[in-house]
Amino acid sequence: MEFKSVVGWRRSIRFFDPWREVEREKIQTILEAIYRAPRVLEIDFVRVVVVLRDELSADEMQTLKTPTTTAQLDMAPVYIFFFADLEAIEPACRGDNFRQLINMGVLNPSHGWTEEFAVGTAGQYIRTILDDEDRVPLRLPVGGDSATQIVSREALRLARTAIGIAQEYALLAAVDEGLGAQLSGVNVGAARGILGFPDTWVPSSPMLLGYHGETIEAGGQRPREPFEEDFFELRYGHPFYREPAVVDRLKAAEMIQDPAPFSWRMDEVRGLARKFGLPD
Amino acid sequence: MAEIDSADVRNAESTRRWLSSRQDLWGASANNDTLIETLTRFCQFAGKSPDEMVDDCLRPGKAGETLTLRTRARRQYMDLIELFEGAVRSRPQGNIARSFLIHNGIAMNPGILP
Repeated sequence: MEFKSVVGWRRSIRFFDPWREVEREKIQTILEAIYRAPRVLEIDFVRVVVVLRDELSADEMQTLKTPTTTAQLDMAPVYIFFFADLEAIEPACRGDNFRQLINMGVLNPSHGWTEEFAVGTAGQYIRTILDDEDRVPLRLPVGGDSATQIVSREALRLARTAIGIAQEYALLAAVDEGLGAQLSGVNVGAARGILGFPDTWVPSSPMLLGYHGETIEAGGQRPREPFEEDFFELRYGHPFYREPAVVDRLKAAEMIQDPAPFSWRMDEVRGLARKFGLPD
Repeated sequence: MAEIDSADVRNAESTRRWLSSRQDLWGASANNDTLIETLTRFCQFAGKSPDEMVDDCLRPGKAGETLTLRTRARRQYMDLIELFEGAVRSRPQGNIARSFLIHNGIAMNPGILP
């Protein structure tokens, strides 16, 4: 698919075909996309665990659910869990990744990068982030996951930014592979018990993955605030001019699609509820 | 506790909220009598009135203006509906009980996979 079309067709999918497995090569393709996502401060934060629903026990499935994660967890055959490992910051404090990129001509003297700068200034800057006195719990003590480290708030922010970028790459790669996907909340304490991830990993919402159980339009593109309320030029309050010709071009490229709600959406949802034996 | 009858169920505030919400979302319902009859059967199965079931699952927040979901009670009702569904051998009837709680703000769903 073309990039604009991928962006346009992405939806949070909540009805998956529960019986159709996702091919392993498609899962790997998504992981390869995540692997190539931009790194925050060149730190290798991101860790991913792929879970096949059918390899979980009924009890494990049950404990993963939250009151807002209901049918979709049963329906999606694959869960991709995203984490950021705070231990990944330590090599960056030594300037390891920066030096590697200097040797590859990615970071260059033209932009002020030298070995001394990487190890001294840049590495020390990351050290100050890691050791910052403004500290917060690594995870919220919910869902039986009470033991948590107290870490630098800024380091945690960087880690969560890295996860967000990885999740977006994964979502778009899933659409490009013809799959449906949704970032969904789960019980982190239960996930920790099932997956056994280390204390230094920052958890986040997993991506539920599978083939669409609903139409790929999924009721149409979701509403957004008016463009002019969110995008500015020169200064806050001065809207970025939205050129209608560009909008038309993006409609033709399927990035901008018909908005929700479709007239037939509620009939579709009710039909899906009946098909899957769900309440209405 | 006195036997719960369909008139009690029909007149309960939570039942009216359920039917109204369903009507708003899906339009005209085919037959509310069937819904009331099934909910009454579930109430008798649970030994609780409709309002009592909702109150079991939602408690007032600290400020008193909002309601907080009681996850353990929700879980118990999810299990109870599964038992009810097995007893009446009908997923649609189980889903009517679920629909009642869902439209009263208590999310739940049956298992989908065999």
